Amino acid sequence: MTSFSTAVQAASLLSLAGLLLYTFWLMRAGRLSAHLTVRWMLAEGAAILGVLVWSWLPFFSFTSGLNDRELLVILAVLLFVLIAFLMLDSLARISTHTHQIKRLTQEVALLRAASAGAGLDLPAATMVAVPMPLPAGPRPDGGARGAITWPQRLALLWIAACVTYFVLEMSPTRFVFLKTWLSADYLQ
Amino acid sequence: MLLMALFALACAGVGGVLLDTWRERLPRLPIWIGAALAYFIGQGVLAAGLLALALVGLFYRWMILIILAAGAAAAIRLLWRSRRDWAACLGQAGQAFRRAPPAWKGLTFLAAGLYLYGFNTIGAPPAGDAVAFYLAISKATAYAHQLVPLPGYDAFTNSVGLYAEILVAALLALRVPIDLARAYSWINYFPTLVLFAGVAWMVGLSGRGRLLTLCVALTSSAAILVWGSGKTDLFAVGPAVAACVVALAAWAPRTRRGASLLTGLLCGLAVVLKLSLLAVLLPSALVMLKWPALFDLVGGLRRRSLPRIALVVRRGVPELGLFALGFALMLLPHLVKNLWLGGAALDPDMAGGAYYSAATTRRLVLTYPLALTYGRYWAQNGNLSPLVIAFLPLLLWLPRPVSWRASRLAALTLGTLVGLGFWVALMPSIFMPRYILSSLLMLGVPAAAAAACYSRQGRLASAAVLLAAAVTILATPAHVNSREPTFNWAATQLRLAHPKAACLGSGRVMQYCAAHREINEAAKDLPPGGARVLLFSWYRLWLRPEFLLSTNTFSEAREIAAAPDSWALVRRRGYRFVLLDASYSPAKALADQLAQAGNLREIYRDDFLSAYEILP
Repeated sequence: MTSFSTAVQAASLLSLAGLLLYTFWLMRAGRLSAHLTVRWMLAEGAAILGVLVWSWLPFFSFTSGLNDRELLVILAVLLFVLIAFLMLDSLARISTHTHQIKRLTQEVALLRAASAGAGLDLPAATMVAVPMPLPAGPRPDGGARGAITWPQRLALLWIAACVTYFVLEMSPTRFVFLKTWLSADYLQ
Repeated sequence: MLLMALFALACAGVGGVLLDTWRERLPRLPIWIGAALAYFIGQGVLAAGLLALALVGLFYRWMILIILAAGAAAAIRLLWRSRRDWAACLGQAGQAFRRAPPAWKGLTFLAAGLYLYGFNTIGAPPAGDAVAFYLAISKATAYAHQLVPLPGYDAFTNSVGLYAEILVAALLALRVPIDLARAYSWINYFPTLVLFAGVAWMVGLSGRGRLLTLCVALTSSAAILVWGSGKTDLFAVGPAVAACVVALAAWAPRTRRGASLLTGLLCGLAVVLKLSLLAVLLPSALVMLKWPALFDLVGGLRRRSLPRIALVVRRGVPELGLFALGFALMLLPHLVKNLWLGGAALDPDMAGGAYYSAATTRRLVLTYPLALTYGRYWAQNGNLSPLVIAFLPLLLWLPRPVSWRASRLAALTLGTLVGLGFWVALMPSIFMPRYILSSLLMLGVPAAAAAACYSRQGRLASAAVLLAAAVTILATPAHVNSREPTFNWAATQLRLAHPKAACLGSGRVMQYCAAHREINEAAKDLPPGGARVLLFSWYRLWLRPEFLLSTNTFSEAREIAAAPDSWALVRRRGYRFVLLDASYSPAKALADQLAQAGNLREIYRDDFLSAYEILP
């Protein structure tokens, strides 16, 4: 790959990454719904992938064989198709939403009229905050103090034995039998 | 170190933004656990992104810097936004510390001291595997701005998960010296420790129990031996523990689906980082995630109530689907990498083999858990903390939970044991604690719960637990050094003073460094690409990076060794330097021909290594 195409690839990737971040920010700012964001992020991800692998795509060799004028015409047509599709898609969505808002306005008006007749006063909005429950349970480390029992003494001896073996095991001449029992070489 | 801090901030920033975006669908955790969780999620996402850049040859310094700066800026913004929560969290921690008895405060200082002292593990020479592959591929990738199969380890590069190596390669591309980049595992262990404390908090342990859990994680030599070694096994521990944290937090109905997806993501990340975790972590995480559902299912089966069973299945299937989706999403970049480099998504040869005879394997399995704590098996590379075996019998003092269904400690313990049971059943002969370290260290949580409970039985019991933990912490550096020289204060100071001097220290591995340095010195006037090095050895880290990329493959070494006119073949293929390791089997045939060959200049020789320049 030439350095020119690497530079173009890097610039395209940066632009697409910027677009991806902008889409993400739109969702975080609440200006774009999560479902639409995911769709667009997938589309942008596909575009990034396309740019990453463009030198392996047949499209790259096809466009390399075209003249400047042919390439411009193809690009202009493709761009027009894309923009027209996006505009039509947006217009279709706006029409659906306009229709839904109109219907909802009518329903709210009917509801208000009905509730006013029944003597109810509906609030304008209800905010519900649901805090996440933190993990709770019995603390296992609560217990009574008492005299030393035999099981407790055995436990003390066990702890002492484990830690003493750990400390003394460093010496190569100690506990040779145990060490041999707990060791093996490759394929032994 | 500043660059490494930027790296850590970027990981936390990327993960923090993702967690913050979907916070409504995820369990709400304390901010300190959330931060560690964000760090590992961000690290996984960054690694996957950097891997994509490396695959297409855009692994440039400025590209990495832009990504890291964006991540770090996000982290700073999130930190600023949550500054009051952090202040409250730190204030609570300070109050709890002030209220603790003096002896337990002392133990806290000892544990913190051992972790900080762990930085001195970079003073020791890097581990053999790191010199052979893990650091070498990072160095080659940073130099070539692209991930290519490392000659000699081509098949391994094409099948092993390389997220950790890519992260280290990014550090090297940012011109962090190799010896300092080795400290990345040690730095990564800090958020891992936070998550271990988080797991302990999740299952209901008090400060005392959490501290003992950390003592177990800090005194396990299987972890310490990797801290500064350049190996990457520890990168998987954090995501694996994070998966357990989320799985245990996922029991609330409102966040169960989001948490299932996140658990799957973290399990996938951990498995890519350490493929052996597939056998252990998946069953463990599933038991922890579906613990209440398992009880409901058993209850339904007992009462033969079909509607109840159907309800459990109907609820469980979408959650398990989300878990599988998350797992597949994290695995995908790894599989794409395998396909891209090697032409196959999965390598069936990665399944492992038998390292011991049947009789030894039987003895090994029968001596669990003694073998885990005190065993010295081939290539074992460290043990589990002795505190686990010392404290586990104290489970007898643990009060019975009010409800087994609601007991997170029971879910964690049984989930971990199921995972380890799978490992012993599937790979009884592969005894390497680092392969399944996350699950082994998780055993420290019930052990710490038992010890914390026992320590409340009286002064003697409390003193015994404290003394055991303190003596183990104090003895750990000497104990680890008795197995393999690891903690080295003087050598670390020397490395910090001369970060670019590679061959500091002694030992067999450092002899390779000396040989590589001589080859580099002999080739200093040659332009890049002007010469190749024939390596009849496994180790290669300190060679010039272009030599790493142009050296022979393993099959080529065998072909040259088997050819009747080896020496002519070596010349024909454009090799200028030869490095022979007497312990590398194909080298013997070539060494015999070498004695009769002319036009050679010996540039290095020691008790088992010899390097030559082939004169034109």
